[in-house]
This record gives sequence, C-alpha cells and structure tokens, in this order.
Amino acid sequence: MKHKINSEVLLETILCFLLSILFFYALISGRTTDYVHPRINGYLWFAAIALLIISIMLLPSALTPKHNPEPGRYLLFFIPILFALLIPAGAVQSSAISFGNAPAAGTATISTGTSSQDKGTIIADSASSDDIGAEASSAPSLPKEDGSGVITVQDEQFARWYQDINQDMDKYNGKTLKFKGQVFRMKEFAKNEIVPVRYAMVCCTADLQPCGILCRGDGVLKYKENEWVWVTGKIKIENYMNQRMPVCYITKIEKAEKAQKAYIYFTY
Amino acid sequence: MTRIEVFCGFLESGKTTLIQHILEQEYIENYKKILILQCEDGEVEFRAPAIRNKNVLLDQIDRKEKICYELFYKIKLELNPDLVLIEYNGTWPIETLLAISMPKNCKIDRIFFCADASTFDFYMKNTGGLMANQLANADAVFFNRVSEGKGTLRNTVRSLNRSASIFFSVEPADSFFKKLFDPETFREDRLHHRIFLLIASASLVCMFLLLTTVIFNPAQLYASVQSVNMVFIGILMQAVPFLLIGAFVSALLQVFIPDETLVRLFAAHKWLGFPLAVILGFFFPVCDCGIVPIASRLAQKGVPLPEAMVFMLAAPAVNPVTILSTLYAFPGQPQYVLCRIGFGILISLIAGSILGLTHQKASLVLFGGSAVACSCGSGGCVPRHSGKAGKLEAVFMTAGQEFLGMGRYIIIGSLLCATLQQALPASLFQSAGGVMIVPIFLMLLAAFFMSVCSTSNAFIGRSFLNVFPPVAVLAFIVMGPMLDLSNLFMLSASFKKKFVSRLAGTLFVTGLLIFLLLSLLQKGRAL
Repeated sequence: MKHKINSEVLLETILCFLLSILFFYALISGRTTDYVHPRINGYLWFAAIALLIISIMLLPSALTPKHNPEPGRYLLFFIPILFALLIPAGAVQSSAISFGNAPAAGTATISTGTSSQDKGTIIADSASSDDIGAEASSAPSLPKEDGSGVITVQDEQFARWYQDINQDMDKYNGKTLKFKGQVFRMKEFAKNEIVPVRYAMVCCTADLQPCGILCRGDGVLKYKENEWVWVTGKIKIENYMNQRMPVCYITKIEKAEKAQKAYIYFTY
Repeated sequence: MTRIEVFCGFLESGKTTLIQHILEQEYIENYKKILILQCEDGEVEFRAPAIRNKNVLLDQIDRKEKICYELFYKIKLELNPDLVLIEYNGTWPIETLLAISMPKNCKIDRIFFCADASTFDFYMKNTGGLMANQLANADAVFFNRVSEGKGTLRNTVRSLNRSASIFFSVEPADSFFKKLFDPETFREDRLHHRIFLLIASASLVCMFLLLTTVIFNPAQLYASVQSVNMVFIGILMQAVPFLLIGAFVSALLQVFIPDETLVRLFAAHKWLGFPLAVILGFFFPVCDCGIVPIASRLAQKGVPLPEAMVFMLAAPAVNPVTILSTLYAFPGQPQYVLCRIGFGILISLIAGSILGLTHQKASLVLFGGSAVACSCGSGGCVPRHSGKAGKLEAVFMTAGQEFLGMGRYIIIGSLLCATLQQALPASLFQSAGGVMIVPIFLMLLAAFFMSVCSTSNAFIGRSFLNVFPPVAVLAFIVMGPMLDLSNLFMLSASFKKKFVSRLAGTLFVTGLLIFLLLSLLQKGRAL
C-alpha cells in the first residue's frame, strides 16, 4: 500500500542495518585488514554495534506514514555497498601507490638526499623502536640464522625485521638474507636493481607505502612489476644517493607464492 | 479517479480563504463534482456565488475518529466526486489521515500547509510537534500576512521539509495551482513521473550491466577498477567509525544541551570566543571527518559562525590523538608537533577573523537546519518514549540521520579522491621545482586530493620529506585536515556551496601565504 510506510526512513533503517551487517561480516571474517589497519577494528566494532542499534531505533518511525518521502537521496549508499560486495579485495595497483608514496620507498632504501640532515625522519620507523612493535598477532620474533648461515625472513617477520635492519644495519652487514616481496622499480633505478617490497598500511588502503631494501643482480630482469619473489643475497652497507643503506647482492632469485596477508602493519 | 487535496494548518491560518480562492478559478470548471470536507469551523464562510463550479458539496467532520477508511469508502461509493478538498483540523495529527488505506481510485494527491506568519513561530514552539509534522508532510507552504523575515520563515520550513514549495503571496501560488488543478496538466505530470521512473531504473540497470560486462572483462581495466575500489572502501571504512562518533557527539549536543547555554558560552565575551573554540577542540579527539558534523551543529545552535569555524579548523591540530601520532611520525623532532599546533591555530584564527570581518551570518549560509534537520523532524521520526528513554532514542535517531546525511558526501568525496589517486600520474608530484611556491602548492594540492585522516597524515607527510622541503611537508600536515575534498563535501551538507567555496579559498590563500613566508624565513635552514 502506498503511503502506509515512510519509505525514506525505511531506507535509512535498511542502510544502517546493511552497513552494520557488512561490518560484522568483515570483522568476523577478518577481511577488514584488506582495507584498513587492524587498529581500526575496535572502532569498526563500535560502528557495527551503533549502526545496529540505530536501525532498530529507526524502525518504528519507518512504519509511520509520511506523505512526501524522498528515499532517492540515500541511493548513493548502495554504490559502496555494491562495490564492496561485487568487487573482491585485490591488489592496489602500484600506480595508485606511487601517487603519494613512491618517494616513500626512500624512507628506507633510496633517498635523493635533499633532506639528509633530517636523520631521524629518513628512517622514522626505526627511530623509536620502543614504541614501534611489529603487528603482534603472532608475536613474531626476529628471523634467526639457520645451519647454512642464511637468515630467512618469514612473512610475519617482515615488519619487525624491516624495522630492525633500518635501525641497526651493521648487524646484518655481510650476512646472507632470504626474504620475500613484490618487485618494485623506480625511474632512477639501474637495470639490475629492484626493491622486493611489502606494502605497509599506515591507516588504510589510501596510504600504502612500499617497504624493502634495494637489491642488485642480473637475475631481476625477467621479473615484472608486482611479481612475488624470494630473494637470497648478501648484505653490504653502501652509500647510495648520499645515504648509507643496506644493499642486497642477489645470489638467487625465484618466483614466490603470494604472502598470506596482503599487507604488513606497523603498530605505534 | 478521485483526487484528494488536503489543506492543513492551525486555526485562522487562511485555509478557508485559500480554498475559496481556488474554487473561484477558471480551471475548477473542469471538475464534475467537488466535495469539501471541513474538519473545523472556520471564521470565514464559503461564499457560494463566487465559486466557478455549480456542483460543490460541503460536509463537516467534527471528530477525528470519523477520519477512517469507511468515510472515504462511502464518499467514493455514494458521491464519487472527482475532487475532494479537505480542510484538515490543525490539532489532529496528520498521520491519522495518512495511515488510511484509501479505496480504489482514490488518492491523496497533495498536502498544503497554511500559516499566519505572525503567529507561526508561536505555534511551532507550543504545539509539541503536531504542527511540525503537518509541515513536514506538506508539498507546499503558504504564508499569509508576511511583513518581514521571509528568510527566517523559509529556513524554519526547510529545516523540517526539504522539498516543499514556499509561497509568501497569492500571485506565484496561482500559477502553481493552475498547473496542479488543471486536469490536463495533472495527467501529463503523472505520465512524466512514470517516464522518469522508468528512465531512472533503466539507466541503473544499464550501468550495472556495463559494470559487470564491459568494464569487468578487460583485465587491465578491471585491475584499476579494483584498485580504485580498494582505496575507496579503505577510506570509507576508516572514516565511518569516526563520522559516527562525530554524529553521536553532535546528537548529544542537540538533545541534551539547550541552545542558550552554548551561545551564552561563546558570546559571553567578545575576545574569549576564539580561544574557547580552540581549547574546545582539544576535548574532541575525533579525526577531521568527525569534527564537521559537530561544528555544523554548533553553528546551528547559534554559536557565531567564525567561532564555529575556528573550532572546526583548529580541532584537528590540537587534538591529542593527532599530537601523539605526529610525535611518533617525527621522532626526536618535537618542532614538527609544535609547528603543527602553532600554525594550525594561527591559520584557523586568521580564517575565523576573516569570516568575522566579512560578517557572515550563520542563518544565511546554513541550510535551514542541516541536511538532517533538527530533532529528526525531516525524516518524520519522533521518539515514542518520553523522559530519559525518549532522549536516548532521540540521540540514536539523530545520530543515525546525521551520519547518513553526511555519509552521502563522504562517499562522493572518497570516490573522487580514490579515482584521482589512480588517475593522476605520480610524476606530477615528484617534479619538485626550484621555486619555493611549487612544492608548497603541490603539497597543498596533494593534501586536498588525498583527504587523508588527520590522525594519520603525519605518517604520509613524513614520506614526502625526501622529495619536498620540510616547510612544504609541514604545509601538507597542517592544511590537510582543514582543506580536503571529502571534508568540503561534508560541509556542503549543512552549508551553502558559496560559503564552502569561499572558506576553501580563504584557507588556501592563507595557508599558501603563511607557508611561503615561513619558507622565506627558514631558507637554507632545517626546520
């Protein structure tokens, strides 16, 4: 029957309810981490619960008839809801990342040297290691040397290791490291240079930053941008573009499986 | 087909006069039989001789219980008029009428609300939502005896009803009625409406098909769509909880704090308003997207506009969470935090003073209430309980509607900014020129389009340090939360576009000038 409900408020109710369910689903299935930093999860729980209560509160009003409702103004909300449901979570293309953050690779690897006086800011992640712990979900430890003298960095150890090597790079000098990352190149790179990076999420997918150390070796040529690779190589501390940084000389590079978690998270 | 037109409004609001006026028009000759249902004894009597239709019946309804399905069923069966004009009693809830399921071929077409401008305010305040509900449901509002204050009247109406046409005199109303009551145009209108609906739904389906088939197939396009989607959903996901917090604070302000308290607080002393606004910011540790609804609410509650804007602009800079995250992002360099706070306050004060100097009146730049009007009137939802439970209910309802109202804008904002992030080449932002203005300008632009949250933008800013001088990065950090795309979109939910663009312009120029000056002073030195 027409006019027997308030379609505008009814739509509001439905939207709040849908959003709430979406949040609950994303939180329970753990998919929120594809989009936002895990520390937002607490807020998302709040949002999910609050929206559920709101939708319950609005329901009686939705059943009170109104003469001239304008449900159309809320149709816009179906765009994100449909987008979130229809398009599965995937990779953020590096063109999007490089928009703001290609220079961010410089936070640890390449610096053009314009601000070398800001020693603390270049490797900010490392400078306050007391406050910064890697994502504590499985309390990852620092990677250890195995019998053959190779330090293998597991997926979950990457964030912790990355902070450690930037903080105390001399510790790794001359050691053989094995780590996994996605191929990342910048304009300034030589042909045989890549950075196998893991993308670190600061807050959400809008601010992904590539993290990794510079690697040299002829084997890198055949790997395309964003491909996952295992890199094994020896660390040497070098001056690169006026900045002291670890460089890995590749002895072995091979295709790798995608890491289980798409991103790494620094907590602070 | 029986059309039912409802005229509501309080006693002596001019309902009878309006109906009489309509009945004297030429188009009324087109109707075969007209029934007038009078629900109250007006002071004015109908003057039969002037009516242009000889087949007019008049009936009185003296109790609201008589408004029911049977009444209309009988009317339809026994009289079958093609036009029913109801002069509705101002003290009966309009829902009583709306809740009736009308017999077949019988339909409430329009609801008109009449009001005497001189008593309008008094009735609005003292009828406990009765009149507000009638007004909220109206398609058109007619004011009689208007002498002055059209703007205020218009705003009050708009705060409850976004779509109604508002008339202050008879002449413009005449053409409105002519269109409405002429059976020819009426039929056309219906047709247009149907066609519009058809086109709208067809284009929606087309868009959906396009999305699933054409765009989704080519791998590259799909990848970039997915990429945009990831960023889009990411921004939204982190914004939604904060926006909700903001909406709740705003709702609490609305429900629990009387307007006068806040106004008195801010207007107590001429020079205390700004510092108070800045300090207040410290106590709202929500990110910049949460602060917009709060600031809009403050402005609506009568806080002077400059003060409300200073609050909005300074809050992200002095907010404890932001200070903490900036400290983490620039460890060992407290000067960044100090500069952020200092310049944040400075710029917001300058912008506030400029607003104060240009005498921006809140009533002129604010939409009636906000996008989501006061105390839930616009959505037509009134808390059912009274006392504490009712207030709690009202908080949740207001927060929900505020959230949804602002949410529309943040959706547009973040979709735009996700697309731009994908579309703009990175090289644009890497080619830092030697001229001082270029990096600052670029960083302001980046801040504007990236719309990063104030609590995290220090981390993003830090990563720019290798490409841009520290001053430009500082400009990014300070101006980001004040001047970004999604915030401006949200502001335009409650403020007129002209004001929003003026504010953005003021901020942009102020920010650019201040940071240029700073970089001149700091030339060659590290921050």
